[in-house]
Parts: sequence; C-alpha cells; structure tokens
Amino acid sequence: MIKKMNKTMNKTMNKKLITIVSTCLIFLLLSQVWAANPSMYFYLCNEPGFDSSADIYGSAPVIVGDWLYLYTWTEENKYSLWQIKRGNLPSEENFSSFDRKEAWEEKIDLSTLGDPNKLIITAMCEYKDDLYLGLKIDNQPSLRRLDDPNDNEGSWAKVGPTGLSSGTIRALYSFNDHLYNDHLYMETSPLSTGEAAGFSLWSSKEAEGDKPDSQDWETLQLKTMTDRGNKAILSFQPLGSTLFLGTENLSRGGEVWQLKEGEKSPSRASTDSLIDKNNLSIPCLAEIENQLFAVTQNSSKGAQIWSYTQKQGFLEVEADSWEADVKRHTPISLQGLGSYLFLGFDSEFDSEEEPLRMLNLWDTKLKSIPLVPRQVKDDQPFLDANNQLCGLAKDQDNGFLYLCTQSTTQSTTQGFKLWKSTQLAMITITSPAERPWATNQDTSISWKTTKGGDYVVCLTDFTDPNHTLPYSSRSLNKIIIESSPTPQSTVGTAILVSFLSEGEGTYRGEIFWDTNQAPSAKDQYNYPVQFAFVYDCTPPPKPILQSVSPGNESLTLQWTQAKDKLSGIAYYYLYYQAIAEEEDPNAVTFSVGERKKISLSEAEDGEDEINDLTNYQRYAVAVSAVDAAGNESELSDLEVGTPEPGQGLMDLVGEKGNCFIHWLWPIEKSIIQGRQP
Amino acid sequence: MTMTRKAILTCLWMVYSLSLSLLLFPSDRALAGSSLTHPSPSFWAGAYIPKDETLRSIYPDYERGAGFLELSWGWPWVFETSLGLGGSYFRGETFSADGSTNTDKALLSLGLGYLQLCAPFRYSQEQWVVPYLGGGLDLWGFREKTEKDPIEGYIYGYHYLAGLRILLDWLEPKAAYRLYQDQGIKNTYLVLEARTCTIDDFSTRKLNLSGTVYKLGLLCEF
Repeated sequence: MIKKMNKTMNKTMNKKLITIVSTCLIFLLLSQVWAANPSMYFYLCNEPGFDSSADIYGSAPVIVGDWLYLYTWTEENKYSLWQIKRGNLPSEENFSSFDRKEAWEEKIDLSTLGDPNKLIITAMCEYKDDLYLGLKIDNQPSLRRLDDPNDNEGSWAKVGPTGLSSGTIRALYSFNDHLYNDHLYMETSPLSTGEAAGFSLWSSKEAEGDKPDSQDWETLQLKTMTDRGNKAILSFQPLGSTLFLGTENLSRGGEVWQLKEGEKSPSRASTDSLIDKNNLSIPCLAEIENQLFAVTQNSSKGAQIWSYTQKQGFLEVEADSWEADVKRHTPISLQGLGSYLFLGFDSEFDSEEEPLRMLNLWDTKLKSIPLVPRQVKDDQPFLDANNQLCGLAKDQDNGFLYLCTQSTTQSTTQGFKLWKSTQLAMITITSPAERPWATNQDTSISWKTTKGGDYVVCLTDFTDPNHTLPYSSRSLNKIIIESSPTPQSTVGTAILVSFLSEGEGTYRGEIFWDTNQAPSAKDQYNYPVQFAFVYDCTPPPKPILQSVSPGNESLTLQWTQAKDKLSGIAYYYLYYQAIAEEEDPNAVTFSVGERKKISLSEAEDGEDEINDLTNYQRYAVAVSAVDAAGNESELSDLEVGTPEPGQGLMDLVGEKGNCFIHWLWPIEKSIIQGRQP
Repeated sequence: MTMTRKAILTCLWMVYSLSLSLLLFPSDRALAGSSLTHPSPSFWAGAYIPKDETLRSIYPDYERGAGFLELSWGWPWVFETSLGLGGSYFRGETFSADGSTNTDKALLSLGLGYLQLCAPFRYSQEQWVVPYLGGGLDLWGFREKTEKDPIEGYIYGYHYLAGLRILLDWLEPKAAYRLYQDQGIKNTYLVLEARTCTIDDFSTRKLNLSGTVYKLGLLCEF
C-alpha cells in the first residue's frame, strides 16, 4: 500500500515538475522572441489617397515651423499640396480617435500658379522657415516661395534665378544659409521631352531681408564633376561646414563629392573603395554624431552602406543579417535621427514577404526593425505587396520618424499614406563635453532627450588597467525625467558614483528610455546611447628633466615624456622660481602661480620654453605630468638655468660693425654702431 | 703679410701665368685674348664654404648656397675685367657666455661685390674649352641678427680663382645661330669656377669671412 502511495506521489511530483519546467521554457522562449524583435510603431496620418483616393503617389513630408507639408499626385499627374499643423497629427493619446480627413487643412490652392493640368511639382524644401517649391509650369521650371502658410489660397513669390529657362528643378536643399537648387536637364518623359542632357547646381546668395529672389543666384562650377561622367546629383548631406553630394555615374560608379564653405566648385571625396562600376548611384546620404554615411545602389549586391572618415575615406559597413538579395534592397531613403541611422528600402512586388523593410544602424550592427502599425480595428493591412516605400523624413527636434508609402495600383483602399512613428527618445549627451572622459573622483553625465519618462543609466562593461579581472558587477541607476511641454528642454543627469565600485579602469555604460513604461509590450525599442569613461586615481610617474638651455629672457626645458597606463598624459606643468645666487635650489618651494601648462600636442618632442623671464637671473625649474583624470605626478629633479641673450659670431670675435650701405637690402633700423653690453 | 705685398704678389703671379702660356704655346698659336668684345653678363649659383671655425660652430649649415651676377668685358685685350655682385645667408644658434649652447637663433646675411681680372687661355675663336685664371678685390657687407640689435658692416679682401668655360654652341648650332641673329649673343658658355677668398681686411680684423666659393654659371658673350 505504501509502495503504491509512493508511486502515485512520485508520478504527481513528476507531472508538476514537468509543468513548471515547460512553463519556464515557454516564458524564456517568449521573452527571447520579444527581446529579439523590438518593433517600431507607426500611426497612419491620412486617409489613404486623401480626398478621392486617387492620390496614389506622394513625397516625403517637409516641416516648416508648426506645419507639415507634402504633395501628392494622381496617375493623371494631377498634383495637390497638403498641409497640416504638427500638433494635429496622431499620437499615442489620440490615434484611435484621430480623424484622418478632418485633421488635414484644405489643400493649398495651386491654381494661382497656372493651369493645374499642366503643373508638376518636382521638389520641395524648407529654408529659413519658408516653404519652397520646385515646379514645372507649362514646361517651364519655376521656383516659388509660399509667403503665408496660413493663407491656403496660395500666395506664391517667384524666386527662381532668371537664367532658369529650361530643364527641371530636380531637388532643393537648404544648407548653411544657402538654398541649393539642383537643376537637372532630363532627356526623357514623363516630365518633358527633347531637353538636352546635363545638370547644374545653383546657390542662393546673400539676399536683402534674407529671402532670395530672382537676382540672388549663382551657378557653381561642376566641370570636374561632369568630366568624370557624373549624370546627376541624387543626394545632399551637410557635415560640419561641408556639403556632401552623392551622384549617379553609370560609367565609373556613383561618387561622393564635397563642397566646402565659401568654395564654388566641389571636390571629390569618395575613394577607390567606392569605385565599383556596379555602384551605379549614391541615392542617399545621412549623418549621425558627426559621421557621414552613404548608401550605394549596386546592381549585383543590392544596397550597401558606407561610413566615411577623412583619414580612411569610405569603408563598407558589414551587416550580420544582411541578405545579398538584389530584389529586396533598393534603397529609398537614409535618415539619421539622434544616434541612429534608419535605412528604408523596398523590394520587388512579387515578394510575398514584408515588402517594406527598415534597418536601424546602431553600433555599426545593422538590426532589422519590424514595422508595426498602431491601427484601429478596421484599418487595412499596413504592409502588403501593393504598398511601396517612397520616402522617409524626420523631426529631429521632437524624435519622430515619418514613413511614406504609395500604392502601385489604384484602389479605393490604397493610395498615398503618411505614417508617423511613436515618439523616439532621441538622447543627446550634453556633458561631459569630451567623450570618453577620465576622472579621479565621482563623476556625472547629463543629457537631453525628446521624450519624458523614466530613463535607465546602467553599466555594461568594465576593464581593469591590466585587462585581467573578469567583469563581475552590474550597476543600474534609474533616472526619472518628467515630461515637458518643450521636449528640447527635457534633460537628465546621473551621478555615476555607484559605478566606481570596481575600482580603477575603463567603464562603459548606456542610457536608454525605460521600456517598462511602453504602452505595448512589443514596443521594446529603447534606442540606448552609450558612453565610456576612465576612473583613474593613480598619478603618473614623474618625468625626467634632461636639460635646461638659456635664451634671451627664456629658458628651454627638455624632458623625457611620462607614460600613464590608464588615462594617458594630458599635459605638463613647467615650474619656475627665481632664486638668489647663493640659494640652494633644492630648498625651493614652487607655487602654482609660477608654472606654465603645456598641452600634450604642444609638448610632442618633450621640449618647451618658459618666456618673459629676467636675463641673468637664476631660476630653479622642474616639470610635472598630469594625466587626463587630473592626477599630477611628483616634480622632476630640479635644475637651475639663467636666461641670457645668445652670442653670435660678432660677439665672439668682438666685431662692432661699421658704416654700411642700406640700399643693398631693406633694413628697418638706423645704422647701429656696435652692441650694447 | 701686408696688403701691398699681397697685391704685388698677385700681379706678379698674373704676369708669370701669361708668360708661361706664351712660352708653352708658340706664336702661331698665340693667345687670341678675350672674346668678350662687349660687356657680357653671367649668372651664377654657387656654394660659399667659410673657413673660420667660430663661424662654422655658430652656423653649422655653413655650406650655404649663394647667388652671383657678373658683368665681364675684355679689357685690356688679353685680360677680362669683371664686376660682380652676390649674396648668401646662414642660419645658426648662438652660444652663452660660458660656452654652452643658447637657444637664441642667429642669422648672418652676406652681400658681396668684387672687381677682378681674369686671363682666359683662348687660342681660337671657336675653342670649346677655355680655362682661365684670375684674381681680384672684394668688398663684403655683413649683417648678423640675433635677439640683440643687429650688427652690420663691411669688410674687404681679395680672391684668386681658376675656372673653365665650356662652349655650348656646338650642342645646338642652329639654336646658337638663331640666338645670335635675334639677341646678338655670339657664344654661350657653361662656366665652372673655384675661388679662394681672403676676407679679413688684409689681416687687420678679427672677423674672418675667408672661405672657398664654388660656382656654376652661364656666360652670354655679346
């Protein structure tokens, strides 16, 4: 009986054990799934195809002040210009009640520009808080500025250059106080026929009232670009004070050119690594954290992403999950938002899989983002084979990404759609200014972000000076930032004292928006920003002062450079103190007022001079090294030097000079009769 | 050696050279004399190498380039009289009073002027190689600039030289003829010269700029 009871108990225990284990496994699996597929949510902003659902095609939106603009067109090439106040776009709070028809203002009347049936919009951009449109009216190119955004009857100022009489305004780009107008002559229809090939780049000049008009344009010299076979400029991206241009070149492959501030002619920036004749064009350029990225369209490999540095030129960014499938990798747009790069690309329509793809470039590892619509119940599917990605745009200040899709076939449920992402927490570290940084005491980090809420600052890695200790601890520091009406002022500060428990070494951490507060469990994209610093409390070894050489009112010190293993030497102090003839230099006490700071770059050779001394006065001198964390070494051994003017040949031989004819070469001073002692 | 003694010795030496040449070469191949019937310019680049140890210690890059411009003409008939100008400069480091190095920099600029007499050993109008000997008087201006006020002055001396003229016309006779037709240049010579200069005010000054000058130039004979 007891044996039977035992057997039953064992069976029950086993069942329970199996249940517990399998439940754990399921949760583990699900958590992995959720963790592996963080998604990006988008709200649909308009009724597909707008009014009549005939607006199948559309442009990426442009933000001008409080307004968002975009233009659409039908299969019959009837163009419409739409505007909406940014505050009226859908958000997490209102997306389910958002009225996609009513929210949009009446479209701007374009009839004042000409016959709507003969009007084509070819480009659009924002420049100094005004909207500019590139148009073709009766086959003539025209550049117009919208004078009053509140007046949707459309009051347009004609501002294009007077020399612009044919061709097409292909692109408009504003950069560094200039409006660039890429004027492309196109050979083929549908926009025009019979026009000559070639392209030109116009730049607006300084204008009265800062608004260009038809007199304020000049063309840039593009001969070097066209001589190399470049057919068009497809992309623009400023980086610092340089404007980078991506071209189409069917003979040599697409190239990247740069136009520096004040120059009238671009120079080539791309290196041979980009020279692959299958890299037909560079349709997209973007910048994040002062680094330039380019996308090439390669006829055999599909899209490729390149990062640019001035030293190494362009280097291909390798993607672990990249699939070399040409059909799926036609780049549409590259946008840098915060510290993230988004690449939108499209695939062939015969693919049954998700036709729209977006890649998020983070830490140079390409991660694919599943796109999830925040749709109400009856919405049509976000993505299907008829939907084509046609553009990406960004609102950098507020952390929104806009995605545009257009339909390849006319249907009542398709048509052009504008999607707005959930607010992304774009984190920008504001201090310390220099990163990575070094410290020998408690340190803190500050940042600003586009989104309020909870933020997590955590330690991710630690390396000790000898690279021997295994990393053991993980410190989490949760910071709460209150939401603010103006996202730009949303800031956070974290004191990293709890991080330093590992001791001296290199720390790495990250800041990210706490996804536990996300409205959906799937919305796990937290866009972390990483940082690193060195904790160093040990002063460097003292430098060795090798020699002190006198000069006129100066002393030149030469020393052996010190080495600091952890944070590195940042600068040196040269100490000097006047001493009497009989005074023992070793008894000297230096004061901080009598020292000269020499940066590492200035003291590359371990030599520098102290100026503004008194000739024939004895000085005690010494050197100390300071590492990047602020730890100062001991003083080197003291040396004594006496500044004095050097003696040349004439002094040594006792030559005093005599009358000399000045006109043989220019002499500023009058005749000198010997030297003063 | 006094100046007078040196001048006399120089003249004697020149007479001796002329005599020797007349002795060595019979009268039917007597010296044709100078071919410079008109003032002829020559342009030179060279190197001035001073002898003075103090100068060399202060100006270690003492093998400095120098430039010269010379105008020569045949007078009297056998000899050539030349007037020349030139210049050079040196960069160096100074010394402290105790003899140790000083970080102050020094710049020594030299401007040369000279008058000289040369005897070319030319026996025919179209002689390809014409050696010559000569000597002359120099006046050098100097200016040394350190952190202190500059010291400038002049110093004079003498030099003697030996050189070689190589006729270039035979390389391109047509071009030479065209040059003669257009510019009036009869002959063009590549000239190499070495001269020894004693520039110490005939031993009355402590400052000694004596040295050797090696020159390479182009002489255009009008």
